[in-house]
Amino acid sequence: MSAVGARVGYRRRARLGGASNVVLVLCGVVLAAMAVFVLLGSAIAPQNPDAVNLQIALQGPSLAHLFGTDATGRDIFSRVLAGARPSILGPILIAVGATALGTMIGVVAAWKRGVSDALLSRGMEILFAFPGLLMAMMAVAILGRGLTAPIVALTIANTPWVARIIRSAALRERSLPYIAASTVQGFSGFTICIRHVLPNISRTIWAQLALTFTYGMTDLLAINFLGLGVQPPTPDWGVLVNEGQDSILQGAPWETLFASVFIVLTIVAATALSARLGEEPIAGRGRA
Amino acid sequence: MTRFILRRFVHGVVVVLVASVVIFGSLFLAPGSPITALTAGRPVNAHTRALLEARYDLNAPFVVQYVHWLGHAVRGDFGTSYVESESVTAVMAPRIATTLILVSMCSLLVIVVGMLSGAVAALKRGPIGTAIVVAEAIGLGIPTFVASLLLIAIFSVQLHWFPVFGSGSGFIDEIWHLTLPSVALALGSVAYIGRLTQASVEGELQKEHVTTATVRGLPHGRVIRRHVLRNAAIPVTTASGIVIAYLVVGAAVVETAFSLNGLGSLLVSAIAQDDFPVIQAVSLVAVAAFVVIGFIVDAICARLDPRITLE
Repeated sequence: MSAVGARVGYRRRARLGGASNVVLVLCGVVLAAMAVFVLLGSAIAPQNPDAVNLQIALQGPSLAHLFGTDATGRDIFSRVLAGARPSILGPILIAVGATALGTMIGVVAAWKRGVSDALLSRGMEILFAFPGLLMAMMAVAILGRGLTAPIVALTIANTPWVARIIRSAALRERSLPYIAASTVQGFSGFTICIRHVLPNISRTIWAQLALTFTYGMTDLLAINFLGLGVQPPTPDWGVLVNEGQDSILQGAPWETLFASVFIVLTIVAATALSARLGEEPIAGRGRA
Repeated sequence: MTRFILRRFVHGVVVVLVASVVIFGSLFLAPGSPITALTAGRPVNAHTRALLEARYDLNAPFVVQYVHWLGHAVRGDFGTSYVESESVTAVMAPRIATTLILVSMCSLLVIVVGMLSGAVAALKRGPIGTAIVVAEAIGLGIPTFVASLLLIAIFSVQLHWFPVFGSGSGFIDEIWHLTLPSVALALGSVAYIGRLTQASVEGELQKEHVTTATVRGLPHGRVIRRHVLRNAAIPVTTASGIVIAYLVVGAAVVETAFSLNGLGSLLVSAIAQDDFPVIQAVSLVAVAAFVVIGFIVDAICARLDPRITLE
C-alpha cells in the first residue's frame, strides 16, 4: 500500500516542482539545528539572554555580539537561541494534539459514515468559520494571556483541517479489497483500523503533522507578536520581532531581522518536509 | 440553480447563528465578572453595581441575554463598550473603512497577482516559471507579522518610499498608506493562490478534452481561454474565497504592526482590555464576513460549473 502512496506523492511533487534532495538535506540540517537549540538553547547561549547593559544598546553585529544588541543592550544571539524553546515547543504541542485528534475523528468518520460522519462534518463546518487566529484571540479573551489559551485554541482550530484530509485518505483506503477481505475473515473494525488503515495512511498523517506545525507556529508567534501570549522578558521569537519594532525606526533592525530569519527558516524547512511527504498547504489555514 | 443558491443561503445563516451562540456563550463563560472589567478592578458599592448590572444587562439568564444581544446585533446595535462608554457601533464605525480598503486591496493583489503568476508559471516554462515557483516558496514561508516589519524596515526606514504608520487622510493618501500593509497581508495568500493556480492549470492541460480541442484545430489561445483556464478557475475560485475571508482576521496583525485604526487592531486592544461587547461584535463580523464571502464564491462557482448545483 505504501508503494501506492509513494507514487501519488511523487507525481504531485513532480507537478508542483517540489523540493530536490539537496534542499531536503538543507531542511533536515535546519530542523536538527533547531532541535538542538530547543534542547540546549539557554545553555549554549554565549551570554545571559536577560542581562541588560544600556551602554551597549542597539549595536550592530560584531564578534562580541554576533547578532548585535537590542534596545536595552541584551545580546540578540543569546536571546534568539534561548527563544527557540518557547517558539518551537508550543507549535509542536499544537501539531501533535491536532494531528492526533484529527486522525481519530477522520478515521472514525470514514469508518462509521452515516449519522456520526454527518454530525462530525457539520461540527467541522462551524469550526471552519473561525480562523485559527480569531479562535486563539477569543481564547485569550476568555482564559487570559499566556500560552495555555492560544495553544488549546489553535489545537482545536487545526483539528478539522487534519480530520478532513485523514477522512478522505481513510475513505480511499477503506474501498480497497483487502479491507473487505479482512472484514470477511471476521476482524473487527477497530482491529482493521489500528492494524491496517492507520499504518497505510501514516505518510499522510506525518505530512499533516509537519504542515500543522507550520500553521501552529505562524499563528502562535502572531499571538505572541500581538502581546497576547508569552509576556516579555521571555525571549519568544514573536516577542523579539515585536520588541525590535521600535529599534527598526532607529535604524537597528537586527533584533527583528534575526528573529525573523529563524522563524522563516523553521517554517520553510517544515513546509518542504511536508511537501516531500506529499502534502500541499491548504486554503484558509491562514498564515498570520 | 435557485434551489442551490437558496440552500447555500440557509446553510450560511445556520452557520452564523451557531457561531453567534459560540461567540456569545464562550465570553459569557469567561471567569471574572464584567463588573471588574467595567470598573478596572476598583471596588464598587452595591448601588453602583446594581446600576452597572442594569445598564449592561448582566443579571438576566444566559438565553435571555443571548436573544437580547442577537436581536439588537442584527439591527447593528452591539451594546455599549466597557472601555469607551459609547456604543460598540460608534467605536467600530470609523474603523470599518480602513479594514475594508485594506482587505479589498489585498484581495485584488491575491486574485490578480496570484492567479496571473500561477497561470504564467504553468504556461511559460523556463526561467520565468522557475522564478515564480521560487518566489512562491519564499512567500509561503514568511508569516504576516514578519513580512510587515521587514517591509517597514526596507521600504519605509531605509528607502523612505512609504510612510511608516497611520492610515492617512483622503482617498489617495489612504491608498498610499495602505500599500505596504496590503502587500504584507497578501504575501502568503498570493504565493498560495499562485501555486494552486499553477497546479490547477497544469492538471487541466493534461486532460483529454484539451487534446481533443487542439486536434480539432481550435486556435491555441482559444483552447487556453475556453477550455483550460475556465475549468482551472473553479478550485482556484473556491480557495481564493476562503483565503480572502480569512484576511479579515489576518488584518489584526497587519493593522497592529502598521498602527492602523481598523477592526483588527480594535479586536486586539479590546482583548487586552477585556472589552467583551467589542470582542463579541468584531468576532461576529469576522465570522459573518467569512460566511458571506463563502456564499458569493459558491454562486460564482455555480456559474462556472453548473454541475455543482446538482450535488
